[in-house]
Amino acid sequence: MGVLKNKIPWDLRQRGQRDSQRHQKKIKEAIKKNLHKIIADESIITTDGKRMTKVPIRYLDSYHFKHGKMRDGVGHGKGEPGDILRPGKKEEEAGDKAGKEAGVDLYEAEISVDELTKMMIDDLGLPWLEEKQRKEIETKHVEYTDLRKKGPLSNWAKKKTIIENIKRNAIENGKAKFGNLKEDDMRFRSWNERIERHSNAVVYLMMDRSGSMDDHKRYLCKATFWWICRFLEKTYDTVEIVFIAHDYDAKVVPEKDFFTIANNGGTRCSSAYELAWKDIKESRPDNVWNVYCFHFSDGDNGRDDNDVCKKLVEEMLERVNMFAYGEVAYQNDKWSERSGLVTVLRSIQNPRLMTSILKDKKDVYPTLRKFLAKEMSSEEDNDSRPEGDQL
Amino acid sequence: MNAALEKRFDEIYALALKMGLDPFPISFEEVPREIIWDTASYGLPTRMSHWSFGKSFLHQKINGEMGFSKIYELIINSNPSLALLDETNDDITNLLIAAHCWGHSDFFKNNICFAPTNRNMVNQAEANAKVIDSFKDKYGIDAVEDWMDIAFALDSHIDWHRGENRVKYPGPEHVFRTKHPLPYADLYGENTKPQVVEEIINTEFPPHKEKDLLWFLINYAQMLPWQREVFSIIRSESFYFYPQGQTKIINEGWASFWHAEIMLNYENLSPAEHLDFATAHSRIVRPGGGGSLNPYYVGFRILTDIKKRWDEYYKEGQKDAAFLKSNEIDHYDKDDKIVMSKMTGYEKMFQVRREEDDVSFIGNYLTRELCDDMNLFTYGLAGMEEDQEADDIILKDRKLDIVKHVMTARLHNNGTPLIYITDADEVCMNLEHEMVEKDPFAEDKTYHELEPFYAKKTLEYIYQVWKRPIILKTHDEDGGVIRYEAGKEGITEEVSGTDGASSRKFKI
Repeated sequence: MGVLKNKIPWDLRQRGQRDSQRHQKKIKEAIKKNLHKIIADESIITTDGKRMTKVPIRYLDSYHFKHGKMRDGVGHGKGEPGDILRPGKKEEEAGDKAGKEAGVDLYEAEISVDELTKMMIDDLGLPWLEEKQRKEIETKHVEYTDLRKKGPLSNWAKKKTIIENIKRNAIENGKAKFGNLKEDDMRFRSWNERIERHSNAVVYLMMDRSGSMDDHKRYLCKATFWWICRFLEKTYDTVEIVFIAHDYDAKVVPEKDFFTIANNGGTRCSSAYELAWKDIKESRPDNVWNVYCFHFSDGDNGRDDNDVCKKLVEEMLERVNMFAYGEVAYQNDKWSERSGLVTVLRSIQNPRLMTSILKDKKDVYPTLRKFLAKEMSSEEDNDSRPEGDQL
Repeated sequence: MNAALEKRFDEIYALALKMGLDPFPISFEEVPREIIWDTASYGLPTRMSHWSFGKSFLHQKINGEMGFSKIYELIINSNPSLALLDETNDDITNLLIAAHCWGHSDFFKNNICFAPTNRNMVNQAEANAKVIDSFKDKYGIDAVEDWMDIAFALDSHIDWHRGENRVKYPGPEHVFRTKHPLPYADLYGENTKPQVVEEIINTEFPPHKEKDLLWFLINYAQMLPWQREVFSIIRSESFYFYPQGQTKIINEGWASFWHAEIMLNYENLSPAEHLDFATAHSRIVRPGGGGSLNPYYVGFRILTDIKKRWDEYYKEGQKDAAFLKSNEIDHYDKDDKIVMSKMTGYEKMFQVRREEDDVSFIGNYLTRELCDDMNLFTYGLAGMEEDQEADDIILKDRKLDIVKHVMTARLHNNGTPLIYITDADEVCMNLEHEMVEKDPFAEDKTYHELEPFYAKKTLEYIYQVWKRPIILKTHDEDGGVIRYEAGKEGITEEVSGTDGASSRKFKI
């Protein structure tokens, strides 16, 4: 007897599905671990937030000893020795990246910007948010709190089902045993949407648009603001954002102009502070509004103006929940560590004043973590940073 | 499977036996495509789960669903063999596949490379999977999968020839040896009496260069019992899969030869079906696209050629009474070319399927004429010649020796770089990467180098197990020595080129 005929219940297998989900999970972990390298990437900042983006990760392959790229082999076909089978990439096309990373296979994981945003802002929050009179900020939570007799199999609550079954058996047969499963025993988890109401908040985003802000600096500002906006949009349904751009003078601009506005003129940071402060005093009564201020500049500010700034910020700190100042600079700039503005601001002793210096794309992530650490207390300051980041 | 098809499957089997095949029984299963993808990614329908299989499953699934590739059949080396047929195959495809599978099963049963494989691996793998699952429950899925990562990183470094079951090295031993004086010792005024001296032998560790990295670590590294078990399981499954890598071309060639042979002799085919078969056959056994080699095609062509040639040699032999009386099996002429044989084409083929793996199969039976006929050539990076970019891939050569070398070099050690343990003690472990020339006929010698990023990662893995610094001596393409050291502080790389040694630190 050579041809065997037996039937195996193949349909029950889910090994491949399960393991590929496990693989996906590992990809996400790897992405999360590398968020600080990824998030300030141009391809992400420039998206409309809807499409998929490719994230290069070098950390997810099954490693083993292998030969370098094998470019020789055997093939078949016509031709004479010396014929070009496949033209190589020209130097220019290959570009810098390929040159530096030759031979390393980057694993490219595809992930939606939305999901990336979710990962990114998962544990961010507006610190020192206070209960105010009119509760307007809403956040939605989905919670599995309910059990039902009908539902999709993926929500099948096995433990509850077994307990129900045992209960029924105990009642019907007097034996508390599992068995004779009936549809009636089935339990499925079900969810409720819970809406949490928070206090109202207004966020002032102030950006330096003076002539000294070159592309590099502007990029760092934009990247950080982009994430702050995404974070606010996703986390709080009703939060008001005021965009202020300033050079020597400050003005309130719409969001789309804020990110594309041209650079010009001298710098007077106090102009932005004055404008924000005036707005706060006039239209944000203390008992209703939480106020957050973020200011980004390269610190190239007039010496006289620094003192004005200090005075204004001290004044504002009496009222606002948080004032955050980010200074953008170059990797090799030593002077910017001691730039007038940041030095003056750092001399103010108040945990609600936060400063950060950004020199490179990878500084964006720690800065965000610093400024938007949920449940902030002044001592925890450093712990919120991911390992291995320097700031 | 409908009754008519089942009957024809039996007929095909009877025909295969009649034509001389000696296969295991086969259990044919019609399965959904997902099962084919699943088994193709895991290697066995019952194998343990691991995220890397999931990754390859997803890859198979996407390729399959997009229509980039279709796997018609999979056959598992076991007794009885297990053949999975895609349930969407039409009847004639299934008949062809059945014939093809009898070829594979015959090859599994009779080829020397497969002789030591565990024919009960389908069940064994299931038991292994259960053990691994129990570890996952007990020690956490992350801990176990991370450890499996290490085992999978090293599982192609086994020593096929020393085999799966080995005894540990003999430890150092005190022995007494009688030392005899040299002749004429008295002339030099030396001691002339035999002396008994005490010696310690077997002090070298390992006593020879060790190729089986997993075996070495299982036996000599400190690890937890479950970790040892995981290593052992993965190593033993690696032994099961190893011969499949050794015999891709000959095995597929053999199965293709027999599906053609059986189907051509199968009488219960209508003319229309015959045409369908011919179409399917030519789709399977055709030159690879884009210049790449198709193992089905190469194997099929070489085997067909062997049959044709030996049929002729046999005919010649029958004419020569002196040869028939002699003890020779094959007779060679002055130029060392075979001219007569007592073996018929079929007999020779069965000998080849018993004795050869891919490397010897190509080395022994790829002839000049066949090489020309198949239009084989070698390709590679262009040198820095005029009007050629260094990056261009060019057609290099059509000489038989060079084609054979390039083909077999890729198959050597199943394409895995040869890494040996040369020395290991409390201080560190020394590894050595064997130098293999890319082209022995070229004037400028170049060597197969290791991919550095992967090498470093793998060294970190070995360090995790051995817990003492790991030093790997390897080389770059031009033969310059590179020394990696994996230790507590990460990886150091030391390059000593022709312009003196320089050292730099790496951090991954």
